[in-house]
Amino acid sequence: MTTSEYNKCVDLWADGVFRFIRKNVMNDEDAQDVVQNAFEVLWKNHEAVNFEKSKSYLFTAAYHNMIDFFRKHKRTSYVEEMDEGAKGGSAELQVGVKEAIEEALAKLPEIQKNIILLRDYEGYSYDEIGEILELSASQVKVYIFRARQTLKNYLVSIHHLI
Amino acid sequence: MKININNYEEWMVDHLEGNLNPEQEVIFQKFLNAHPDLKSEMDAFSNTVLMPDMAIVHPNKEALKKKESKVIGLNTYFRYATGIAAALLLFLAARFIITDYSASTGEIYSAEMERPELEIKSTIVVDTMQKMEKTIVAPDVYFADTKEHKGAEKNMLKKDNSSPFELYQREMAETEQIQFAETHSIQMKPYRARLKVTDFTSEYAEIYRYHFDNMMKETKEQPSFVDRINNTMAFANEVGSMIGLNKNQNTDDLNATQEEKVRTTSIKILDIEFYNRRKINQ
Repeated sequence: MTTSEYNKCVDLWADGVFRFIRKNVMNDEDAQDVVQNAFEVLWKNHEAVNFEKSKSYLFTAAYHNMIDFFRKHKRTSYVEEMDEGAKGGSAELQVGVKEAIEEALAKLPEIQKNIILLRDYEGYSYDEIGEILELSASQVKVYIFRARQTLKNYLVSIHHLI
Repeated sequence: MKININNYEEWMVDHLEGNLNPEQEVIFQKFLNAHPDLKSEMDAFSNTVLMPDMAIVHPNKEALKKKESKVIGLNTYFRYATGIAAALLLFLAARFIITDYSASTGEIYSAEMERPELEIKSTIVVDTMQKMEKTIVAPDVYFADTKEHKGAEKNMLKKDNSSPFELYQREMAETEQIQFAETHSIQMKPYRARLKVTDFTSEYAEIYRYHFDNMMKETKEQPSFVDRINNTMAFANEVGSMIGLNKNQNTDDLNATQEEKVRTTSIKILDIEFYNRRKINQ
């Protein structure tokens, strides 16, 4: 991949990878750090990485970087915050479907959440998701089913509350 | 797997995910029509597909980008000045392949070259040249060898007592230009350069001249003109030694009468790859 192709990667995928990471780390600064590290990894290897493969390479790098980030920061404060938010949200009867789904998403197990984000945000295939998250395609399929089932049940329960 | 009241959720997700084939889609729709009470559940499944919030964008993409390499062409062709600043074709450096030697014609090498070309015109002010004189060290060579330069060579060697640097400077003072361009946007033009040699001084000179013609330098900042000259000279020397175009090695190679083999080496400096394929003694 040439320098100009690398720069093209930035234009094409910086937003997508930022959105993906931002959903997980929950603040702009940390998300930017993770994304920057991911691009540094891509840049370091840009001569070996094909342009066609660069997107999944980038997302893989970002994902691993995010895992490292969580390991360093233990992510306790963020989890508590989210639980608080989720409780508050579900008590609010006027909550819309979009908000509800966001809440439910935040409660999903990490792996399921990331699979759904890659699937819905980026349109990745099961194989590609498997490559990024180091899972088999059939594992990805099972996780997608479980995640959508959980989200659906949450939406149905909210609906009944309303 | 047949759809039934116990496994319809899996079918719903497969439907949502586009995993059902056309026949399965028909079966699924039939099942759904037969169970209207499940329709709201299907709707809820549909709502689990997330839409990315396009308002969330990376705040500073430019900071992630890398600078593309630039080149500077530095023209040092030997010219006989008419005093008119002229447009001239400036050949920038590139790669060259030493393809063969032909001792019988006195040609010690002919090089197939590819050079990117740029058409540029400009002048250099004398002040700059004077400033440069104080700063740089001239190479210890004479720029002459080919037929059309023979006269000049004699002038330089016998009549003209100017130092090589003065000659170089005189030439430079006429027209000179530095231009930035992205390396990959420059057109490559093939040509063949031949070097005939009568003694090693002029051979050496030719090699140097060659490199002066072929200087390339990547810059990240905007160095002064003097810096560029210095950088380019250093670069040329480096290239010359790295690809083995030094006097001793050439002497050996040129006298090669035994079985020969071809050695190809390549080096990459500042984003430019140099190839050198030469016959060497076994």
